[in-house]
Amino acid sequence: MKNIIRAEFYKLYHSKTLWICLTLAIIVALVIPFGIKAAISAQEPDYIDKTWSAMTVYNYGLSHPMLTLVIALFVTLTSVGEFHFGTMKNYLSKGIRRESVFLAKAIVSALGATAIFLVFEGVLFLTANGLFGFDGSSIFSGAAFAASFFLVWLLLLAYTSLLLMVVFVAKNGMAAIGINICLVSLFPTLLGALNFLFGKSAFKPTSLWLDSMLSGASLLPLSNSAIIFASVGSLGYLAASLAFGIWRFKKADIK
Amino acid sequence: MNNIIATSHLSKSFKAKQAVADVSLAVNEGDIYGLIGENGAGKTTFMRMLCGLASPTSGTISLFGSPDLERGRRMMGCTIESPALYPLLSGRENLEVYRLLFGIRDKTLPDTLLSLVGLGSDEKKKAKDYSLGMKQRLMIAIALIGDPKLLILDEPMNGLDPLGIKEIRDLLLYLNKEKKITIVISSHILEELSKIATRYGVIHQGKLIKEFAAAELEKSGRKFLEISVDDTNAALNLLERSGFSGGDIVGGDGHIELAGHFDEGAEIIDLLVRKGIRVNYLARKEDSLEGYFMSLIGGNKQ
Repeated sequence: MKNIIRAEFYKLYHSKTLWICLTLAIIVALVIPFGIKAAISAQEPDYIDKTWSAMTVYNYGLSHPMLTLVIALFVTLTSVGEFHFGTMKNYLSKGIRRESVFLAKAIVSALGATAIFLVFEGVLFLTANGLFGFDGSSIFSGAAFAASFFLVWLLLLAYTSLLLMVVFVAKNGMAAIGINICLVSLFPTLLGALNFLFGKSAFKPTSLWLDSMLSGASLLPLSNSAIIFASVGSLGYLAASLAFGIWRFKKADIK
Repeated sequence: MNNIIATSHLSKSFKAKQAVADVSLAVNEGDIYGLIGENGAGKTTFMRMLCGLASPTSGTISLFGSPDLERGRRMMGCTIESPALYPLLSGRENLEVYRLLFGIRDKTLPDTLLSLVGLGSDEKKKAKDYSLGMKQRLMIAIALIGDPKLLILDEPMNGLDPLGIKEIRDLLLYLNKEKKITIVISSHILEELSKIATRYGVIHQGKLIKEFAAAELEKSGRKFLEISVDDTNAALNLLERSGFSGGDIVGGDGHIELAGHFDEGAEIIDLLVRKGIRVNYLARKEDSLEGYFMSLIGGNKQ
Protein backbone atom coordinates (compact mmCIF):
# COMPACT_ATOMS: atom_id res chain seq x y z
CA MET A 1 0.00 0.00 0.00
CA LYS A 2 2.84 2.39 0.90
CA ASN A 3 4.42 1.88 -2.52
CA ILE A 4 1.15 2.46 -4.35
CA ILE A 5 0.61 5.71 -2.44
CA ARG A 6 4.16 6.83 -3.27
CA ALA A 7 3.53 6.10 -6.96
CA GLU A 8 0.21 7.97 -6.77
CA PHE A 9 1.87 11.01 -5.20
CA TYR A 10 4.55 10.96 -7.87
CA LYS A 11 1.88 11.07 -10.59
CA LEU A 12 -0.08 13.74 -8.73
CA TYR A 13 2.99 15.94 -8.34
CA HIS A 14 3.83 15.62 -12.03
CA SER A 15 0.28 16.08 -13.30
CA LYS A 16 -1.30 19.44 -13.97
CA THR A 17 -4.63 18.54 -12.40
CA LEU A 18 -3.69 19.29 -8.78
CA TRP A 19 -2.07 22.61 -9.67
CA ILE A 20 -4.97 23.66 -11.90
CA CYS A 21 -7.51 22.79 -9.18
CA LEU A 22 -5.48 24.62 -6.52
CA THR A 23 -5.27 27.67 -8.79
CA LEU A 24 -9.01 27.46 -9.41
CA ALA A 25 -9.64 27.23 -5.66
CA ILE A 26 -7.48 30.32 -5.07
CA ILE A 27 -9.28 32.29 -7.78
CA VAL A 28 -12.72 31.38 -6.37
CA ALA A 29 -11.55 32.17 -2.84
CA LEU A 30 -10.43 35.62 -4.02
CA VAL A 31 -13.57 36.31 -6.00
CA ILE A 32 -16.06 35.45 -3.21
CA PRO A 33 -15.10 38.16 -0.66
CA PHE A 34 -14.65 40.78 -3.36
CA GLY A 35 -18.04 39.78 -4.78
CA ILE A 36 -19.70 40.04 -1.36
CA LYS A 37 -18.16 43.44 -0.75
CA ALA A 38 -19.16 44.74 -4.17
CA ALA A 39 -22.72 43.43 -3.87
CA ILE A 40 -23.33 44.84 -0.39
CA SER A 41 -21.56 48.13 -1.03
CA ALA A 42 -23.91 48.74 -3.91
CA GLN A 43 -26.93 48.37 -1.61
CA GLU A 44 -25.96 49.69 1.82
CA PRO A 45 -22.37 50.91 2.29
CA ASP A 46 -22.44 51.13 6.13
CA TYR A 47 -23.84 47.59 6.53
CA ILE A 48 -20.54 45.87 5.65
CA ASP A 49 -18.58 46.55 8.76
CA LYS A 50 -21.42 45.62 11.09
CA THR A 51 -22.32 42.19 9.71
CA TRP A 52 -19.50 40.82 7.57
CA SER A 53 -16.14 39.82 8.96
CA ALA A 54 -13.36 37.45 7.97
CA MET A 55 -15.04 34.75 10.06
CA THR A 56 -18.47 35.12 8.51
CA VAL A 57 -17.09 35.11 4.98
CA TYR A 58 -14.88 32.17 5.88
CA ASN A 59 -17.85 30.34 7.31
CA TYR A 60 -19.92 31.16 4.22
CA GLY A 61 -17.16 29.65 2.08
CA LEU A 62 -17.24 26.34 3.94
CA SER A 63 -20.34 25.19 2.10
CA HIS A 64 -19.77 27.07 -1.15
CA PRO A 65 -20.77 24.91 -4.16
CA MET A 66 -17.64 25.96 -6.07
CA LEU A 67 -15.52 24.18 -3.47
CA THR A 68 -17.29 20.86 -4.04
CA LEU A 69 -17.16 21.43 -7.79
CA VAL A 70 -13.38 21.97 -7.76
CA ILE A 71 -12.94 18.88 -5.57
CA ALA A 72 -15.16 16.90 -7.95
CA LEU A 73 -13.01 17.97 -10.89
CA PHE A 74 -9.85 17.08 -9.02
CA VAL A 75 -10.97 13.60 -7.90
CA THR A 76 -12.47 12.73 -11.28
CA LEU A 77 -9.61 13.95 -13.44
CA THR A 78 -6.87 12.37 -11.32
CA SER A 79 -8.51 8.95 -11.30
CA VAL A 80 -10.39 8.66 -14.56
CA GLY A 81 -7.18 8.79 -16.59
CA GLU A 82 -6.21 5.36 -15.29
CA PHE A 83 -9.17 3.92 -17.20
CA HIS A 84 -9.10 6.36 -20.10
CA PHE A 85 -5.42 5.74 -20.90
CA GLY A 86 -5.58 2.07 -19.89
CA THR A 87 -2.87 2.40 -17.24
CA MET A 88 -5.04 0.60 -14.70
CA LYS A 89 -4.22 -2.53 -16.72
CA ASN A 90 -0.54 -2.05 -15.91
CA TYR A 91 -1.26 -1.87 -12.18
CA LEU A 92 -3.50 -4.90 -12.04
CA SER A 93 -1.42 -7.09 -14.33
CA LYS A 94 1.53 -6.53 -11.97
CA GLY A 95 -0.39 -8.44 -9.30
CA ILE A 96 -1.37 -5.38 -7.26
CA ARG A 97 -4.47 -6.13 -5.19
CA ARG A 98 -7.52 -4.27 -6.43
CA GLU A 99 -8.65 -3.18 -2.96
CA SER A 100 -5.17 -1.73 -2.36
CA VAL A 101 -5.37 0.24 -5.61
CA PHE A 102 -8.80 1.61 -4.70
CA LEU A 103 -7.83 2.50 -1.12
CA ALA A 104 -4.58 4.14 -2.24
CA LYS A 105 -6.54 6.24 -4.72
CA ALA A 106 -9.04 7.11 -1.97
CA ILE A 107 -6.27 8.20 0.41
CA VAL A 108 -4.46 10.31 -2.18
CA SER A 109 -7.75 11.84 -3.38
CA ALA A 110 -8.68 12.65 0.22
CA LEU A 111 -5.33 14.31 0.84
CA GLY A 112 -5.57 16.25 -2.41
CA ALA A 113 -9.12 17.36 -1.58
CA THR A 114 -7.93 18.39 1.89
CA ALA A 115 -5.18 20.49 0.34
CA ILE A 116 -7.70 22.19 -1.95
CA PHE A 117 -10.03 22.77 1.03
CA LEU A 118 -7.28 24.28 3.17
CA VAL A 119 -5.95 26.50 0.38
CA PHE A 120 -9.47 27.65 -0.49
CA GLU A 121 -10.39 28.48 3.11
CA GLY A 122 -6.96 30.00 3.84
CA VAL A 123 -7.08 32.39 0.89
CA LEU A 124 -10.72 33.17 1.62
CA PHE A 125 -9.92 34.00 5.25
CA LEU A 126 -6.92 36.20 4.44
CA THR A 127 -8.78 38.07 1.70
CA ALA A 128 -11.87 38.54 3.87
CA ASN A 129 -9.66 39.67 6.74
CA GLY A 130 -8.16 42.33 4.52
CA LEU A 131 -11.54 43.49 3.26
CA PHE A 132 -13.75 43.21 6.34
CA GLY A 133 -11.41 42.86 9.33
CA PHE A 134 -11.20 39.95 11.76
CA ASP A 135 -14.47 38.83 13.30
CA GLY A 136 -16.11 42.16 13.97
CA SER A 137 -19.36 40.49 14.97
CA SER A 138 -17.65 38.04 17.47
CA ILE A 139 -20.65 35.74 17.51
CA PHE A 140 -18.81 32.41 17.11
CA SER A 141 -16.85 30.52 19.72
CA GLY A 142 -13.58 28.88 18.71
CA ALA A 143 -14.87 25.42 19.67
CA ALA A 144 -18.02 25.76 17.59
CA PHE A 145 -15.99 26.93 14.64
CA ALA A 146 -13.51 24.04 14.99
CA ALA A 147 -16.40 21.56 15.19
CA SER A 148 -17.95 23.06 12.07
CA PHE A 149 -14.64 23.00 10.25
CA PHE A 150 -14.06 19.36 11.19
CA LEU A 151 -17.56 18.27 10.13
CA VAL A 152 -17.26 20.06 6.81
CA TRP A 153 -13.92 18.37 6.23
CA LEU A 154 -15.46 14.96 7.04
CA LEU A 155 -18.31 15.63 4.62
CA LEU A 156 -15.85 16.63 1.90
CA LEU A 157 -14.00 13.35 2.45
CA ALA A 158 -17.34 11.54 2.06
CA TYR A 159 -17.91 13.48 -1.16
CA THR A 160 -14.43 12.50 -2.33
CA SER A 161 -14.99 8.79 -1.74
CA LEU A 162 -18.38 8.96 -3.46
CA LEU A 163 -16.89 10.71 -6.49
CA LEU A 164 -14.07 8.16 -6.61
CA MET A 165 -16.54 5.31 -6.40
CA VAL A 166 -18.37 6.72 -9.44
CA VAL A 167 -15.09 6.83 -11.40
CA PHE A 168 -14.31 3.21 -10.58
CA VAL A 169 -17.82 2.01 -11.36
CA ALA A 170 -18.17 3.99 -14.59
CA LYS A 171 -14.61 3.15 -15.81
CA ASN A 172 -15.23 5.61 -18.64
CA GLY A 173 -13.82 9.10 -18.82
CA MET A 174 -16.74 11.11 -20.15
CA ALA A 175 -19.36 9.18 -18.17
CA ALA A 176 -17.51 9.66 -14.88
CA ILE A 177 -16.94 13.38 -15.47
CA GLY A 178 -20.59 13.87 -16.42
CA ILE A 179 -22.00 11.90 -13.48
CA ASN A 180 -19.73 13.58 -10.94
CA ILE A 181 -20.49 17.10 -12.12
CA CYS A 182 -24.20 16.23 -11.96
CA LEU A 183 -23.73 14.81 -8.45
CA VAL A 184 -22.35 18.07 -7.07
CA SER A 185 -24.35 20.55 -9.11
CA LEU A 186 -27.60 19.16 -10.53
CA PHE A 187 -28.46 16.42 -8.05
CA PRO A 188 -29.07 18.81 -5.10
CA THR A 189 -31.45 20.80 -7.34
CA LEU A 190 -33.28 17.62 -8.30
CA LEU A 191 -33.65 16.63 -4.65
CA GLY A 192 -34.86 20.15 -3.87
CA ALA A 193 -37.63 19.67 -6.42
CA LEU A 194 -38.50 16.30 -4.86
CA ASN A 195 -38.99 18.06 -1.52
CA PHE A 196 -42.24 19.46 -2.90
CA LEU A 197 -43.62 15.92 -3.28
CA PHE A 198 -43.40 15.47 0.47
CA GLY A 199 -45.35 18.66 1.10
CA LYS A 200 -45.58 19.48 4.78
CA SER A 201 -43.98 16.18 5.89
CA ALA A 202 -40.98 16.50 8.23
CA PHE A 203 -38.96 14.31 5.87
CA LYS A 204 -37.16 16.12 3.07
CA PRO A 205 -35.07 14.16 0.52
CA THR A 206 -32.48 16.92 0.49
CA SER A 207 -31.69 16.33 4.16
CA LEU A 208 -30.16 12.95 3.25
CA TRP A 209 -27.79 14.41 0.71
CA LEU A 210 -24.24 15.57 1.45
CA ASP A 211 -24.86 19.03 0.05
CA SER A 212 -27.57 19.73 2.62
CA MET A 213 -25.44 18.28 5.42
CA LEU A 214 -22.60 20.59 4.32
CA SER A 215 -24.88 23.61 4.59
CA GLY A 216 -26.06 22.47 8.03
CA ALA A 217 -22.53 21.87 9.30
CA SER A 218 -21.31 25.27 8.13
CA LEU A 219 -24.14 27.22 9.75
CA LEU A 220 -23.06 28.57 13.13
CA PRO A 221 -24.09 28.12 15.83
CA LEU A 222 -24.29 24.37 15.09
CA SER A 223 -27.59 22.69 15.86
CA ASN A 224 -27.63 19.20 17.36
CA SER A 225 -29.43 17.80 14.34
CA ALA A 226 -26.79 19.31 12.02
CA ILE A 227 -24.01 17.69 14.07
CA ILE A 228 -25.75 14.29 14.04
CA PHE A 229 -26.64 14.43 10.34
CA ALA A 230 -23.15 15.55 9.36
CA SER A 231 -21.34 12.97 11.54
CA VAL A 232 -23.50 9.97 10.69
CA GLY A 233 -23.99 11.07 7.10
CA SER A 234 -20.32 11.63 6.32
CA LEU A 235 -19.20 8.37 7.91
CA GLY A 236 -22.09 6.50 6.29
CA TYR A 237 -21.40 7.85 2.81
CA LEU A 238 -17.66 7.30 3.29
CA ALA A 239 -18.03 3.68 4.38
CA ALA A 240 -20.71 2.85 1.81
CA SER A 241 -18.78 4.44 -1.07
CA LEU A 242 -15.55 2.65 -0.18
CA ALA A 243 -17.28 -0.70 0.35
CA PHE A 244 -19.35 -0.51 -2.84
CA GLY A 245 -16.46 0.85 -4.89
CA ILE A 246 -14.11 -1.94 -3.81
CA TRP A 247 -16.78 -4.61 -4.29
CA ARG A 248 -17.61 -3.45 -7.82
CA PHE A 249 -13.96 -2.91 -8.77
CA LYS A 250 -12.98 -6.41 -7.62
CA LYS A 251 -15.63 -7.92 -9.87
CA ALA A 252 -15.06 -5.73 -12.90
CA ASP A 253 -13.25 -6.63 -16.10
CA ILE A 254 -10.72 -3.93 -17.00
CA LYS A 255 -10.21 -2.88 -20.59
CA MET B 1 10.37 -28.68 -18.06
CA ASN B 2 8.26 -26.65 -15.62
CA ASN B 3 4.89 -25.25 -16.57
CA ILE B 4 5.00 -21.49 -16.22
CA ILE B 5 1.38 -21.16 -17.30
CA ALA B 6 -1.21 -23.91 -17.15
CA THR B 7 -4.87 -23.33 -17.84
CA SER B 8 -7.54 -25.93 -17.41
CA HIS B 9 -10.88 -25.70 -19.24
CA LEU B 10 -10.63 -21.91 -19.14
CA SER B 11 -13.74 -20.17 -20.47
CA LYS B 12 -15.05 -16.64 -20.66
CA SER B 13 -18.48 -15.56 -21.78
CA PHE B 14 -19.83 -12.08 -22.38
CA LYS B 15 -23.61 -12.45 -22.11
CA ALA B 16 -24.50 -14.70 -25.04
CA LYS B 17 -21.06 -14.68 -26.65
CA GLN B 18 -18.46 -17.25 -25.64
CA ALA B 19 -15.13 -15.47 -26.17
CA VAL B 20 -12.93 -18.26 -24.81
CA ALA B 21 -14.17 -21.82 -24.66
CA ASP B 22 -12.61 -24.59 -22.63
CA VAL B 23 -8.97 -23.72 -23.28
CA SER B 24 -6.47 -26.04 -21.61
CA LEU B 25 -2.97 -24.94 -22.48
CA ALA B 26 0.50 -25.17 -21.01
CA VAL B 27 3.47 -22.87 -21.53
CA ASN B 28 6.80 -24.29 -20.48
CA GLU B 29 9.72 -22.48 -18.94
CA GLY B 30 11.91 -20.98 -21.65
CA ASP B 31 9.22 -21.06 -24.34
CA ILE B 32 8.44 -18.26 -26.71
CA TYR B 33 4.83 -19.23 -27.13
CA GLY B 34 3.11 -17.73 -30.15
CA LEU B 35 -0.62 -17.36 -29.78
CA ILE B 36 -2.25 -17.06 -33.16
CA GLY B 37 -5.79 -16.61 -34.37
CA GLU B 38 -8.04 -14.36 -36.37
CA ASN B 39 -9.36 -11.05 -35.05
CA GLY B 40 -11.96 -11.80 -32.38
CA ALA B 41 -10.75 -15.39 -31.99
CA GLY B 42 -10.29 -14.91 -28.24
CA LYS B 43 -6.51 -14.38 -27.95
CA THR B 44 -6.71 -11.05 -26.16
CA THR B 45 -9.48 -12.22 -23.82
CA PHE B 46 -7.37 -15.26 -22.97
CA MET B 47 -4.36 -13.04 -22.27
CA ARG B 48 -6.48 -10.62 -20.22
CA MET B 49 -7.54 -13.52 -18.00
CA LEU B 50 -3.90 -14.52 -17.52
CA CYS B 51 -3.07 -10.93 -16.56
CA GLY B 52 -5.94 -10.58 -14.10
CA LEU B 53 -7.86 -8.04 -16.13
CA ALA B 54 -10.84 -10.32 -16.74
CA SER B 55 -12.18 -13.04 -14.52
CA PRO B 56 -12.85 -16.45 -16.07
CA THR B 57 -16.43 -17.66 -16.28
CA SER B 58 -15.12 -21.14 -15.54
CA GLY B 59 -11.86 -23.06 -15.46
CA THR B 60 -8.60 -22.48 -13.64
CA ILE B 61 -5.26 -20.78 -14.17
CA SER B 62 -1.98 -21.75 -12.58
CA LEU B 63 1.08 -19.49 -12.78
CA PHE B 64 4.57 -20.76 -11.95
CA GLY B 65 2.98 -23.99 -10.75
CA SER B 66 0.78 -22.26 -8.18
CA PRO B 67 -2.87 -21.22 -8.07
CA ASP B 68 -1.79 -18.07 -6.15
CA LEU B 69 -2.28 -15.73 -9.09
CA GLU B 70 -1.43 -12.47 -7.30
CA ARG B 71 1.98 -13.86 -6.39
CA GLY B 72 2.45 -15.22 -9.90
CA ARG B 73 1.51 -11.92 -11.51
CA ARG B 74 4.19 -10.11 -9.54
CA MET B 75 6.67 -12.18 -11.58
CA MET B 76 4.94 -11.26 -14.84
CA GLY B 77 5.05 -8.32 -17.22
CA CYS B 78 2.17 -7.67 -19.60
CA THR B 79 1.25 -5.44 -22.48
CA ILE B 80 -2.35 -5.93 -23.48
CA GLU B 81 -3.89 -4.25 -26.52
CA SER B 82 -2.85 -0.64 -27.17
CA PRO B 83 0.05 0.92 -25.23
CA ALA B 84 -1.16 2.17 -21.83
CA LEU B 85 0.95 5.18 -20.79
CA TYR B 86 0.61 8.44 -18.87
CA PRO B 87 0.70 10.82 -21.85
CA LEU B 88 1.85 13.90 -19.96
CA LEU B 89 4.75 12.10 -18.31
CA SER B 90 8.02 11.45 -20.09
CA GLY B 91 9.22 7.94 -20.83
CA ARG B 92 11.50 8.08 -17.80
CA GLU B 93 8.70 9.38 -15.56
CA ASN B 94 6.36 6.65 -16.77
CA LEU B 95 8.93 4.06 -15.70
CA GLU B 96 9.54 5.90 -12.42
CA VAL B 97 5.85 5.42 -11.48
CA TYR B 98 6.27 1.65 -11.71
CA ARG B 99 9.66 1.69 -9.98
CA LEU B 100 7.97 3.37 -7.01
CA LEU B 101 5.01 1.00 -7.27
CA PHE B 102 7.32 -1.97 -6.88
CA GLY B 103 9.41 -0.30 -4.20
CA ILE B 104 12.58 -0.82 -6.23
CA ARG B 105 15.46 1.15 -4.72
CA ASP B 106 17.65 1.25 -7.82
CA LYS B 107 16.98 4.75 -9.17
CA THR B 108 18.93 4.03 -12.35
CA LEU B 109 16.47 1.31 -13.39
CA PRO B 110 14.33 3.57 -15.65
CA ASP B 111 17.43 4.70 -17.56
CA THR B 112 18.70 1.13 -17.86
CA LEU B 113 15.38 -0.06 -19.25
CA LEU B 114 15.07 2.88 -21.62
CA SER B 115 18.47 2.05 -23.04
CA LEU B 116 17.56 -1.63 -23.30
CA VAL B 117 14.51 -0.89 -25.46
CA GLY B 118 16.32 1.74 -27.51
CA LEU B 119 14.67 4.85 -26.03
CA GLY B 120 17.68 6.15 -24.15
CA SER B 121 17.86 9.35 -26.18
CA ASP B 122 14.14 10.10 -25.80
CA GLU B 123 13.89 9.86 -22.02
CA LYS B 124 12.62 13.42 -21.56
CA LYS B 125 10.12 13.42 -24.40
CA LYS B 126 6.51 13.21 -23.22
CA ALA B 127 4.82 9.90 -23.97
CA LYS B 128 2.06 11.67 -25.92
CA ASP B 129 4.68 12.77 -28.43
CA TYR B 130 6.02 9.24 -28.94
CA SER B 131 5.36 7.37 -32.16
CA LEU B 132 3.37 4.13 -31.86
CA GLY B 133 6.57 2.14 -32.17
CA MET B 134 8.19 4.10 -29.35
CA LYS B 135 5.10 3.57 -27.20
CA GLN B 136 5.29 -0.17 -27.86
CA ARG B 137 8.92 -0.18 -26.75
CA LEU B 138 8.14 1.82 -23.64
CA MET B 139 5.39 -0.65 -22.80
CA ILE B 140 7.90 -3.49 -23.05
CA ALA B 141 10.20 -1.52 -20.72
CA ILE B 142 7.31 -1.13 -18.25
CA ALA B 143 6.57 -4.84 -18.53
CA LEU B 144 10.21 -5.54 -17.64
CA ILE B 145 10.02 -3.64 -14.33
CA GLY B 146 10.15 -5.95 -11.37
CA ASP B 147 12.47 -8.43 -13.08
CA PRO B 148 9.70 -10.64 -14.50
CA LYS B 149 10.17 -14.29 -15.37
CA LEU B 150 7.26 -14.21 -17.80
CA LEU B 151 6.20 -11.68 -20.40
CA ILE B 152 2.74 -11.64 -21.95
CA LEU B 153 2.76 -9.45 -25.03
CA ASP B 154 -0.36 -8.79 -27.05
CA GLU B 155 0.53 -7.59 -30.54
CA PRO B 156 3.78 -5.87 -29.50
CA MET B 157 4.81 -5.37 -33.14
CA ASN B 158 1.71 -3.43 -34.13
CA GLY B 159 2.54 -0.13 -35.75
CA LEU B 160 6.26 -0.78 -36.01
CA ASP B 161 8.28 -0.17 -39.13
CA PRO B 162 10.42 -3.05 -40.47
CA LEU B 163 13.46 -1.84 -38.55
CA GLY B 164 11.41 -1.50 -35.37
CA ILE B 165 10.02 -5.01 -35.83
CA LYS B 166 13.54 -6.38 -36.16
CA GLU B 167 14.67 -4.50 -33.05
CA ILE B 168 11.75 -5.84 -31.01
CA ARG B 169 12.38 -9.33 -32.35
CA ASP B 170 16.05 -9.12 -31.37
CA LEU B 171 15.11 -7.73 -27.96
CA LEU B 172 12.65 -10.55 -27.29
CA LEU B 173 15.18 -13.16 -28.37
CA TYR B 174 17.77 -11.54 -26.08
CA LEU B 175 15.35 -11.53 -23.14
CA ASN B 176 14.46 -15.15 -23.78
CA LYS B 177 17.98 -16.48 -24.31
CA GLU B 178 20.03 -14.27 -21.99
CA LYS B 179 17.56 -13.31 -19.26
CA LYS B 180 15.72 -16.65 -19.41
CA ILE B 181 12.34 -14.94 -19.65
CA THR B 182 9.46 -17.05 -20.90
CA ILE B 183 7.35 -15.15 -23.41
CA VAL B 184 3.77 -15.52 -24.58
CA ILE B 185 3.21 -13.37 -27.64
CA SER B 186 0.34 -12.81 -30.03
CA SER B 187 0.89 -11.21 -33.40
CA HIS B 188 -0.82 -10.91 -36.72
CA ILE B 189 2.57 -10.75 -38.39
CA LEU B 190 2.93 -14.52 -38.60
CA GLU B 191 6.15 -14.38 -40.61
CA GLU B 192 7.77 -12.43 -37.78
CA LEU B 193 6.28 -14.69 -35.15
CA SER B 194 7.69 -17.73 -36.92
CA LYS B 195 11.19 -16.24 -36.56
CA ILE B 196 11.08 -16.27 -32.77
CA ALA B 197 8.40 -18.65 -31.47
CA THR B 198 9.36 -22.06 -30.21
CA ARG B 199 5.80 -23.26 -29.69
CA TYR B 200 2.43 -22.17 -30.99
CA GLY B 201 -1.20 -22.32 -29.96
CA VAL B 202 -3.93 -21.68 -32.49
CA ILE B 203 -7.15 -20.21 -31.15
CA HIS B 204 -10.18 -20.22 -33.38
CA GLN B 205 -13.65 -19.10 -32.31
CA GLY B 206 -12.54 -19.16 -28.69
CA LYS B 207 -11.22 -22.72 -28.79
CA LEU B 208 -7.64 -23.92 -28.77
CA ILE B 209 -7.65 -26.02 -31.92
CA LYS B 210 -3.97 -26.90 -32.15
CA GLU B 211 -0.72 -26.66 -30.22
CA PHE B 212 2.54 -27.47 -31.93
CA ALA B 213 6.27 -26.91 -31.66
CA ALA B 214 8.31 -24.95 -34.20
CA ALA B 215 10.13 -28.17 -35.12
CA GLU B 216 6.80 -29.81 -35.84
CA LEU B 217 5.90 -26.96 -38.17
CA GLU B 218 9.12 -27.48 -40.06
CA LYS B 219 8.40 -31.19 -40.43
CA SER B 220 4.81 -30.75 -41.46
CA GLY B 221 5.59 -27.92 -43.83
CA ARG B 222 4.90 -28.93 -47.43
CA LYS B 223 7.88 -28.37 -49.72
CA PHE B 224 7.35 -27.68 -53.40
CA LEU B 225 8.75 -25.98 -56.48
CA GLU B 226 7.01 -22.90 -57.81
CA ILE B 227 7.48 -22.63 -61.56
CA SER B 228 6.42 -19.74 -63.76
CA VAL B 229 6.44 -20.43 -67.52
CA ASP B 230 4.97 -18.85 -70.65
CA ASP B 231 2.70 -21.89 -71.38
CA THR B 232 1.54 -23.55 -68.16
CA ASN B 233 -0.65 -26.24 -69.78
CA ALA B 234 2.11 -27.39 -72.13
CA ALA B 235 4.63 -27.35 -69.30
CA LEU B 236 2.37 -29.35 -66.98
CA ASN B 237 1.73 -31.98 -69.66
CA LEU B 238 5.44 -32.23 -70.41
CA LEU B 239 6.33 -32.60 -66.72
CA GLU B 240 3.77 -35.37 -66.22
CA ARG B 241 4.92 -37.25 -69.34
CA SER B 242 8.50 -36.99 -68.11
CA GLY B 243 7.81 -38.44 -64.68
CA PHE B 244 7.49 -35.20 -62.73
CA SER B 245 3.96 -35.80 -61.52
CA GLY B 246 2.17 -33.98 -58.72
CA GLY B 247 2.04 -30.57 -60.38
CA ASP B 248 -0.88 -28.20 -60.29
CA ILE B 249 -1.69 -24.83 -61.83
CA VAL B 250 -2.44 -22.33 -59.06
CA GLY B 251 -2.56 -18.62 -58.35
CA GLY B 252 -3.78 -15.65 -60.36
CA ASP B 253 -0.68 -15.63 -62.57
CA GLY B 254 -1.15 -19.30 -63.41
CA HIS B 255 2.12 -20.66 -62.07
CA ILE B 256 2.74 -24.33 -61.37
CA GLU B 257 3.26 -25.78 -57.92
CA LEU B 258 5.13 -29.07 -58.11
CA ALA B 259 5.37 -31.18 -54.98
CA GLY B 260 7.66 -34.16 -54.46
CA HIS B 261 10.56 -32.99 -56.64
CA PHE B 262 12.07 -30.41 -54.30
CA ASP B 263 15.67 -31.14 -55.24
CA GLU B 264 15.18 -31.60 -58.98
CA GLY B 265 14.90 -27.97 -60.04
CA ALA B 266 17.91 -28.04 -62.37
CA GLU B 267 16.63 -31.06 -64.29
CA ILE B 268 13.19 -29.51 -64.65
CA ILE B 269 14.53 -26.22 -66.02
CA ASP B 270 16.72 -28.14 -68.43
CA LEU B 271 13.75 -30.24 -69.63
CA LEU B 272 11.43 -27.25 -70.13
CA VAL B 273 14.04 -25.14 -71.95
CA ARG B 274 14.99 -28.02 -74.24
CA LYS B 275 11.35 -28.36 -75.28
CA GLY B 276 11.11 -24.64 -76.04
CA ILE B 277 9.11 -23.57 -73.01
CA ARG B 278 10.31 -20.30 -71.59
CA VAL B 279 10.90 -20.39 -67.80
CA ASN B 280 10.32 -17.06 -66.07
CA TYR B 281 11.44 -18.36 -62.70
CA LEU B 282 11.66 -21.49 -60.56
CA ALA B 283 11.70 -21.21 -56.79
CA ARG B 284 11.95 -23.65 -53.89
CA LYS B 285 9.03 -22.97 -51.54
CA GLU B 286 7.90 -24.26 -48.20
CA ASP B 287 4.54 -23.86 -46.50
CA SER B 288 4.94 -21.03 -43.97
CA LEU B 289 3.33 -20.59 -40.57
CA GLU B 290 0.74 -18.52 -42.38
CA GLY B 291 -0.01 -21.36 -44.78
CA TYR B 292 -0.18 -23.85 -41.94
CA PHE B 293 -2.41 -21.51 -39.96
CA MET B 294 -4.70 -20.99 -42.92
CA SER B 295 -4.97 -24.74 -43.46
CA LEU B 296 -5.89 -25.20 -39.79
CA ILE B 297 -8.45 -22.42 -39.81
CA GLY B 298 -9.82 -23.52 -43.18
CA GLY B 299 -10.27 -26.99 -41.81
CA ASN B 300 -12.20 -25.65 -38.87
CA LYS B 301 -14.44 -23.12 -40.60
CA GLN B 302 -18.03 -23.99 -39.98
